[in-house]
Amino acid sequence: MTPPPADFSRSPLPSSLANDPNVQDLVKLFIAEMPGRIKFANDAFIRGDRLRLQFWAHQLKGCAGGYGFAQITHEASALEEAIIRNESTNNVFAALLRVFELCERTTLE
Amino acid sequence: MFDATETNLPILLSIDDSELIHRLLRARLHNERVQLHTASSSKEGLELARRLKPDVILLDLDMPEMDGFEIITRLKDDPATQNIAVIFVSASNDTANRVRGLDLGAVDFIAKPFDVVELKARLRSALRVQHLIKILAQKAQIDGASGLWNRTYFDKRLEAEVSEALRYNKPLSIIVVDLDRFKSTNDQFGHLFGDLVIERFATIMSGGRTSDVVCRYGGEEFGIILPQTTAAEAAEVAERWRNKLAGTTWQDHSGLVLTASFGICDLASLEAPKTPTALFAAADKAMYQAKKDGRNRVEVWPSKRLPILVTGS
Ligand SMILES: [Mg+2]
Repeated sequence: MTPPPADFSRSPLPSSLANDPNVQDLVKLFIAEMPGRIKFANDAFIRGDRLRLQFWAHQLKGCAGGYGFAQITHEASALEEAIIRNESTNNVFAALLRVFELCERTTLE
Repeated sequence: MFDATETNLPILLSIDDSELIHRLLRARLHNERVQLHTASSSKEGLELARRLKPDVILLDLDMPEMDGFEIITRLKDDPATQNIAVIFVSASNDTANRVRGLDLGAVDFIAKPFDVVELKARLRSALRVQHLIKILAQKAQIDGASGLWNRTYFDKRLEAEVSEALRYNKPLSIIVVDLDRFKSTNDQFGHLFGDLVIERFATIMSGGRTSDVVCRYGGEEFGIILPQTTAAEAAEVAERWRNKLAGTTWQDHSGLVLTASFGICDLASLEAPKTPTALFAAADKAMYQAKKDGRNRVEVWPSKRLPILVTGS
């Protein structure tokens, strides 16, 4: 699955499943839980806990697309790869910011 | 996996440490004709697999404590779970992982995040194959004349039940039955009548609890596995069957009384090693004792009259 290139403006990022009645409520819940999710990754990064951060990125990669956010899956995958390649803290941080940026912009529609 | 299929929907178990995935599955499979169960740890997953005996398991590759490879290895090592179809689910797009999963016995692989249409299609395909395998397995294990399970099934099932009972420390009994003077009944009244007797007796024994596994072990010999049942309880069951058979009236042969001899043993009465073979041998000895004592009776092992069984020979 190749998602469209990420748009890093501050415009809202709607779920592609906004019109799917089967999962609308789940998408809302997924968005509502976003602050806690971001905090978890933030804490892991600050503590330098790369394993935890890698695990987080892997989980997000696995599920975000299922909630209609293919771009988040794409960027979370890039973050996971950066950690696996043991890239510099700066690079990991940049990848993490890209994920956060998208996460903060999520909206149902 | 060899249980007679009930009218229930097929069971699907998802083992995944991510609740986000379980939520999605519940929503996505809401209208599918499956019962979805979820486990969020490897330990819970293995327990549920043993207890529910699902048709298909969706197994997450990436789990803490024990990864999917380790879980599928354990599932395939356990007779109680080895026939469950396992579909690996993973956000990793590593080809080596897929190959390894298939090598370990997985039937398919689904990438996360799921494409809903693909998920449903792969799931249906796995369920269809499981269903066919079940039917074929049952056909090969049912005795044509009596409709009971055959000896192949009896041996396999006894092994699984003994290991289950020992693992969870649960009672388990077996009954060995032999129709009395069946050969002379056959000679006197013909084989067609003999078949009718087998059929009638099979109906009597099948009318009991659904958990009991009734098998035709040989010509006029039957083996019944009674899970979660002590020898005393099994003796009550056998006594009921004995009475019913002895009280059966046979058309065209008024006054004819046909009987059977029953031998019973439970796992608790066996000395170590408590093997399926030893359990069967003990019940078989009890059945011969019942014959010696005049037939048409129920004998429980160990009886004071019986010599101590020598196992392992
Ligand atoms: Mg996982």
